[in-house]
Amino acid sequence: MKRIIPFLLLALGLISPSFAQDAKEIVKKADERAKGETSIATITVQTVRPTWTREMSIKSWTKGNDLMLILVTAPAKEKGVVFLKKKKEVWNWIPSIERTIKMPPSMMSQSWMGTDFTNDDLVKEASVLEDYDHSILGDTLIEERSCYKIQLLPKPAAAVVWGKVIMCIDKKDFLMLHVTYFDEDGALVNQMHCSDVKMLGGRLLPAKMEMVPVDKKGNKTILIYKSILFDTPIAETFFSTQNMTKVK
Amino acid sequence: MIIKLIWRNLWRNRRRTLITMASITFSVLFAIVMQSFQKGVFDNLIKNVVGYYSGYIQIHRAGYWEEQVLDNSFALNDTLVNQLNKNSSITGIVPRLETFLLASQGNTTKGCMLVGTDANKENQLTHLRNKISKGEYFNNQEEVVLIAEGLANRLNVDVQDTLVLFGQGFQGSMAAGKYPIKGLVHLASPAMNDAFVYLPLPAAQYFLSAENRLTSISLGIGSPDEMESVLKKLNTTVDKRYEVLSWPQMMPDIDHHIKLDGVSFYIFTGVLYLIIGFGFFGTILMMAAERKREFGMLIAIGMKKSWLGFILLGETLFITLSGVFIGIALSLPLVIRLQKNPIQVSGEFAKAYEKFGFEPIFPTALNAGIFLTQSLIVLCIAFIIGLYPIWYVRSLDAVKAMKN
Amino acid sequence: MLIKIAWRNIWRSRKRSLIILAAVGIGLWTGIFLMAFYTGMIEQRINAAISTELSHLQLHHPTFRNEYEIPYHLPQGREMLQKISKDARVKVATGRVVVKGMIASASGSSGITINGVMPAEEQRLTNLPGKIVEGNYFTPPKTNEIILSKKLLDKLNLSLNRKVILTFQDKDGNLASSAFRIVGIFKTINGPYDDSNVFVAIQDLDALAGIPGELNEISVLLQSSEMLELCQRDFIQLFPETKVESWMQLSPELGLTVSVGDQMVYIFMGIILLALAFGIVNTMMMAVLERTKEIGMLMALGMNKLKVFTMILLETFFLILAGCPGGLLAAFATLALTNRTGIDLSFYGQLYSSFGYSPIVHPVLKFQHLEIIMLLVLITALISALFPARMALRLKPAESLKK
Repeated sequence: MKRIIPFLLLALGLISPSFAQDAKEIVKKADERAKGETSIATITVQTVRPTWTREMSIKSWTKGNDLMLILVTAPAKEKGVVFLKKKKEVWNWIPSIERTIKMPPSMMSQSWMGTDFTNDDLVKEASVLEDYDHSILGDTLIEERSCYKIQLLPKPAAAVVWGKVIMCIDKKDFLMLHVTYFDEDGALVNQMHCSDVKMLGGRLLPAKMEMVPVDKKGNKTILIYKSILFDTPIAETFFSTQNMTKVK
Repeated sequence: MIIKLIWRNLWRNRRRTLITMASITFSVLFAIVMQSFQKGVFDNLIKNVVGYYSGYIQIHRAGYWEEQVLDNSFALNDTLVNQLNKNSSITGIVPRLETFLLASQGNTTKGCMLVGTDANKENQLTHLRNKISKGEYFNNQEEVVLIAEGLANRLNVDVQDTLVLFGQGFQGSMAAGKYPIKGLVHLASPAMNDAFVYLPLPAAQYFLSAENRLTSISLGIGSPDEMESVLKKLNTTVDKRYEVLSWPQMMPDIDHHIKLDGVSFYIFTGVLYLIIGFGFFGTILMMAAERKREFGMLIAIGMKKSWLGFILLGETLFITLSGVFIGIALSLPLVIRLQKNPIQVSGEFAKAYEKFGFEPIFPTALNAGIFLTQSLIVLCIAFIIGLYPIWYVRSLDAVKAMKN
Repeated sequence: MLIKIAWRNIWRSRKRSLIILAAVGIGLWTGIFLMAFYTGMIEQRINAAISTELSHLQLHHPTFRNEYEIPYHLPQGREMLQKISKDARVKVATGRVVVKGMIASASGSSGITINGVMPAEEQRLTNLPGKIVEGNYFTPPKTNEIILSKKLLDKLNLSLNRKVILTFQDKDGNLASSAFRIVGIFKTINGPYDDSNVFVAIQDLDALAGIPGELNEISVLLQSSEMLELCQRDFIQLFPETKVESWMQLSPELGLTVSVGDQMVYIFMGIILLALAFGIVNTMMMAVLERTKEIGMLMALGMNKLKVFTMILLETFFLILAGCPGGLLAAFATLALTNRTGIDLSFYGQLYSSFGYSPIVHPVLKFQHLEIIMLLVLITALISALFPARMALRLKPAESLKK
């Protein structure tokens, strides 16, 4: 009996390292959980400013990292507007004027639909895995969930403006709960906080994402996921400028 | 008695008096004309610059100039309008709603500057109607655009084509619309000519979901001289939530450039005074020499030198004053004529001027201040030099003088 | 004989003559100096622009400068550059890839022109390293280095050794972007230029843009400005499918500055010379009055009216001409002095640099200007001499003798 306990301890000691995962793996898992192969989601977007607040409803389709289509369903003035992202290009379909417009580079850093996200953010989303070197900094507690604290440092050639990104990813369910963006001088520029974890499309995910630009007081953008459908087959042709005009 | 002497002296030798007076008259004439030119050209330059777009003064919501976004617009307010209307120096009040958008035609999309403005008031300030190169001007009821030539070229559009405008409206709303092009405008500044699109204000406010809102009010003023006083008045009376900016504050580069030219003018004026001084001195010198014998005689028969001095002083005074008055009288019609029919810049230079939207003229300014100051300056110069004969008399040896 | 008399008359009344001499001398001196000053100022501006930004000539694809689109690069640009460099009249020539795009940092973004340059040649052409106020020039083989202005640096809330992201549309219309590290901060006297230009090494840009090894701009500095027109014509013939432009065509605003300045100066010079003429006429007329007796005497002795007229004419004429050497000498002396040291207008410093003028001005006298001034002085002399001479005729010698 006396020999079993030390043996068990030893066994545990051997097992734990193999449970400690690669930082990149963790981020990859979190990313896959939130995205899936394809996804169809309905989302409410709230833009909050010191003097006003706007609410917008959208439906989004994604396939992998390169294809995304967003349809605005409310309010009335914007209803029917479609955004299409194909790799690095962004297109707009505006039903009221019956025009498809390709976004020129000068508009990429402009805000998307008045929110705190830029058009660039829609396009650059995917780079979180390829453009950074990942390492685990430690642990932290977010909303009573134990999380990995992961540091992402941009690779030298990567075309990202951040000097450093810190992600807090839930250990149990690989939920990305908190992300902070720093410039190269270490100053905090943006903060994203996720909460309201619930079952969405059969997965446990945070339903509320808040993006806060730190130097603009009173500004934030909130995304509330109403429903998500994962991994239904969507053809690549769905993500085309022709389909933009027809999608409902 | 002295006065009689003075008078007689002057009329005894008419030619001499007239020559001396002429010297002063022409000096005054030159000084006034030169300054009038300088000011005329200067003022004209400013008029051209503010007539480009900005007006003399602009009123915005406080903080707008630093961050020129639609969300920094303000709602049009009766109190402000009344304050502006009451000020008689303000000749034009142009309300505008401005923002950056995308303009598109077919597959081409370019960034543009949308200017929602009151058609009539805009024309009063910037003469937009005259800048139409093709098509026609618009009115406030229409939903059409005027597009700058450069932009029209880049988008490959023409009059009667439909222009698509798209971008962010007020408070994050989306602005998207199609408007027929009613006319092409030629804007002098290349930067403006490549980017501007004008839309009547009501249509623009609806388009941007910014009903009754403005980003700026541009003011036209009678003449550049009145700007300072208007600025001061507005700064004290207008509510703190607005900012009042003059064109030098909005366009410091151009202001510096104009001030630069001013520097060289001062130098030229200084040289003119120098030359005038010399010319007059020469005349006086000769006059003293011519009357050497006469002076000698007077002293010999007993006139005190100081009396003679007084008489000469009186003569100088009379000559200079009349010379100045005649000078003013002559320069007045000249300056007026040059103002109404300015000298035209010729040939190649004229073309270069027009390309930049400047009128190719050198006008004069009709300004009482100039007449006054120049006359006073010449008066002073003439008077001081005119004291020479008195000094001359003092050192005169009567006997020697008569011998000659 | 008359000439001798006229000459002696001049020196008999020394005071009068000296005054006129002084007036003419000063008028000439200031006139010449001012024109030279103004010319120097303008030339400075032009030379600054030529040596800093424009060079004498630039070559592009005919459509390139409309939208700066990448597909419109120079056909076989590198070979063109070689050919041009071999021309003896060319001092330095370099090629660039110029692209319009966006620069972004964590705090903001801005629209800019990205200049991909050949470091060594660019140094000889525009002295880019000389404009660097902080940091270093490009150090090949290091890649992705960028040099930008202090203004832009502050706008993006950055400092030396921080990174920026450049984004632009490549040859196929797709978005290309890459990270660059700030190695140097530059400053020119042209504020607006600083705001919107950044520099990278050409090899870091051309492949990214989809045109490896190509050029879309060739910039040429000639041995001297005189060769400009001829060179331009030759290059147009040599490279028929290219647009060859001079600095005047590339920057019409610069041309405007020159022409406006000239006209204004002539008008003012005109007024000053007119004032000078009047001053002299008045003085001479007064002098003639003073010499009524003397003239009367001469006429009584047998000098006829024509001779009197001519004599006075000559006197005035000589006086004015005699004043010239003094004025010219003074002008040349001051010009020589200031030409070397330059006139420092730094107290107007701010004014100047914000609009592209350097605060030190070297007055330059153009031969053409000198000719015009001398001609004007001559005409002034002639005309001013007429009036006193005419007045001399009107004198009544008999009366004057009575005195």
